[in-house]
Amino acid sequence: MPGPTALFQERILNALEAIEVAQEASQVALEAIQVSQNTVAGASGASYSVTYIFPAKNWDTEWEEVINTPAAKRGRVIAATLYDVTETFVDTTTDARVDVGDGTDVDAFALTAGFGTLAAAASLAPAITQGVTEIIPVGDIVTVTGIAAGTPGNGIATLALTIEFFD
Amino acid sequence: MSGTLISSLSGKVPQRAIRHLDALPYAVTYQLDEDNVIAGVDFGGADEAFIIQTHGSKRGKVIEILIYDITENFAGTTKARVDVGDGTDANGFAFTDDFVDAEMTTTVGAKHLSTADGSISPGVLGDIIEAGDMVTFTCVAGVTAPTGIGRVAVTLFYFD
Repeated sequence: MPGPTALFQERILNALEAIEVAQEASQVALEAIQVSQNTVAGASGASYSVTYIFPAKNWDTEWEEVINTPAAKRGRVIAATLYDVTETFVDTTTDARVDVGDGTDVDAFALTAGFGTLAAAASLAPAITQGVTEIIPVGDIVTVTGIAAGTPGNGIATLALTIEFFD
Repeated sequence: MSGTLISSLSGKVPQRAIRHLDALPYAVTYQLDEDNVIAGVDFGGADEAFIIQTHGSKRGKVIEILIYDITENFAGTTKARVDVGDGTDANGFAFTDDFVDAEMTTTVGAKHLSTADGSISPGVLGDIIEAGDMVTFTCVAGVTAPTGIGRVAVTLFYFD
């Protein structure tokens, strides 16, 4: 049977262990809060991609669409895909392609390789050549221009244009 | 990611940061319209296949398929679904669960399928699409008096 001093010491030790466990639990909770806060902060500063779909565009003649970019983000054209081709492209004097510009310079940001004789029911992810500006500044509009195939000009497809946005 | 690095720079982004951007994974969502004739796909007619040329520099994986803007209730004895293949094996890369009619009505409006919840399963080829591979998305119509029209959006996740 332990004496009163030993019992007192044991209780003190138990109490100290309980305090240690509580401190560890508090630390875990604090770390969880910090991770959560970092995640939220990271999300608002994260980069992300947006794909703009232009269905059934006709490259018989030149066409243009305008994109209003997200506020507070810069951007960069990273990919283009032609799919759902319902009319074969005719490669005569000029290859059909897509230019991405700023409203003044039609291919300021990027231009795709030519589509050649892209066949109906086929698909193409043309190479991207970055333009002289490359990085789309914050708040800029972006023009997407379908450069028509040469005379007589043919080709209908859906265009998916992907832009990466970042701080 | 180099968001802080990039935001700290004004004007031209250095090549090192550009290379960092090149290495980032990204997702692309393709909208499928039936030969650009109708807005969406008629799952009550013939099977409708779409060919997508994937990007040459990244591998890919189908992560989500969304059926939305349902304008005709889905029905049929054998149910509709979406297959993802390589042009030879129609569902070699992945396939969705069969659609449930009660979940595919004009009232409900939309159905979300994903690899995360298991409603998209990998095919026999595995679910990784090699860089530059051609991918087919086949909207498989139901059988026996099938109906169902909706827009289809498929999301590919691209990574190194």
